Amino acid sequence: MPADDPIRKLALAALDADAQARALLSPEGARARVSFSDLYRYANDPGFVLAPELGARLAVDDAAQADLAHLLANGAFAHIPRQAAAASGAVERRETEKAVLVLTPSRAGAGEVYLSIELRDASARPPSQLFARKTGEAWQRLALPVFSDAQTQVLLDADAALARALADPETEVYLR
Amino acid sequence: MSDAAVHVLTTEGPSRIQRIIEEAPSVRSVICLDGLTQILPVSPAYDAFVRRPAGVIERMSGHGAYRMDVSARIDEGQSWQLAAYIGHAAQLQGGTDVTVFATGEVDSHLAVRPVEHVDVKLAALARFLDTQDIDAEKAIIVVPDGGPETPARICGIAVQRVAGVAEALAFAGLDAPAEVGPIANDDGAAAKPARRRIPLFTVLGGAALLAAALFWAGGDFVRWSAMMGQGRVLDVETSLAEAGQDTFGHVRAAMFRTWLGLSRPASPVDIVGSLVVAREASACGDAARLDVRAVTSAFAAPGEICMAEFRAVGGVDDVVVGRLGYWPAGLGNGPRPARVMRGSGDVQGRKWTLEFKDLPQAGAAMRLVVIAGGVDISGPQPWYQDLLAAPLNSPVYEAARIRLARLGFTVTSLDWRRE
Repeated sequence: MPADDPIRKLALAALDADAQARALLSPEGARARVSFSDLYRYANDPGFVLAPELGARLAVDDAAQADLAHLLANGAFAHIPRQAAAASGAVERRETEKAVLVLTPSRAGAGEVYLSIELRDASARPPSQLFARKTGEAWQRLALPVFSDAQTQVLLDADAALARALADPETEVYLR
Repeated sequence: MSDAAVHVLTTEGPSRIQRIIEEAPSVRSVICLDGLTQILPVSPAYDAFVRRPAGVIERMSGHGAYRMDVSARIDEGQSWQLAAYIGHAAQLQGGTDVTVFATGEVDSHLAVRPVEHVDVKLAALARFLDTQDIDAEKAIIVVPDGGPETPARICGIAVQRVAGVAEALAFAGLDAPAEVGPIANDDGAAAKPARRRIPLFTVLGGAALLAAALFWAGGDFVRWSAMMGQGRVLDVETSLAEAGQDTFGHVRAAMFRTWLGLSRPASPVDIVGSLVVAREASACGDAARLDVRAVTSAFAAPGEICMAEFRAVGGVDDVVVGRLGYWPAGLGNGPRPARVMRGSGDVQGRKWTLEFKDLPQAGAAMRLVVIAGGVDISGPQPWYQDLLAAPLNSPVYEAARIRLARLGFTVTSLDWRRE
């Protein structure tokens, strides 16, 4: 279904209307929710940016995080689950049948790390976003650069939440 | 960065190369903006400009991955290449305090090709220079020869038109690279060196010469072994070809190839496969209505093939890699397979799972190519193009197979087609 499909827009609007109706009934609880249509666009549109206040709400809203998890699981290019319980130390490489993710520290100076993603199926339509979540924390999102020869690469601050999450074996990752 | 200040000319004004840092060989070269983590979109082109076999920077420096920081954005195009080359040369040689402004495309023969909008770039440079205090005697502007007329000087700085990087480096007070590797062909493959006969005096040389050869071989062996350990098989092949251009190098390369041949896996690779079939296409999503059959060379039964799965198992110490190519209109019918699967490694070897989006019709074919060796192969692997498309035992297929055999790998392939 294309992104601008009118039926999908109508369905999202109906979900938002339902949420607003519930908000009117219990305003103090609903004020903290991020609308489903915003979550949907956040999960599917790399160009969509949540307003700062909504981003802050999303980070602390367990229900919205769970909704987002369901959205991410639906139609993901690849899911990389948490590492085995025996895993210890920082993760440098994650593999699935669809992709390989590698973290390589930059030599240009401390505090930067390359994230390289290589797709196993060179003819597959490449993903455009990466989502990562450490157990008990909020989802981190990264818009991916264009793939070239089934590979792409980004440079991250090693202290950034996403880089720390990707190095943690207790983090699951979706490519969409 | 050296004392030289090298700038890329752009239509928005010069962008200074702030620093060039060697990165781990496993990452791709990148151009970043002003020391930030923002990778510019032109980076894949920079990586190709750096890395062998087509890249010219690794030929000069011997290293294949860099991060280059620039002060302002560089958009798509190749005109940054001349400044980048000068920047790398200045980094390697150091010492010179010249200021360089350059634009031009550099080809694999190190010729400088004309680029567009030179007049606009020079106008933007003039506006920039009006705001700067630069010693014109220690500065140079370099543009490609063959383009439109250019002024002799801009703000007192001489404009030099060049046809090759050697000229550009000379104007900047830099030496041309002492040794340039093999020039790549148009298809990116390194030019095949001419095979040389070993002179008689080498054969008749005394123990001193032999000892010297072994000494030199030792250094190369360590380098080639390290590259092989990193899986840089194409780099090893290129380096061996380069070494083969001189007599001693040819002997060293031959010795290393012999060693690679001895390390080739002795155990055969076993391949098993299965097809998931259904009576009609609509049943492919219903597990209860699926049937699993072993893969044979051809499938002539009625029904639809929903999925194929192959598993390859090699020797205990062997690393098994490969590609599964799907040809909907028949093997080699088209520029490339409609789908190419890399598979995933497991403790028993490697597995490929192909869920068909377009179900195979009569004439459709699959080719599984399994490569076994001592290491996982990384980087470009041009041999797959022929291994996935050429008929088994054809000269083209055999050439690709032998190419890998000479590097210590075995190739096992399996063909399947739908009747």
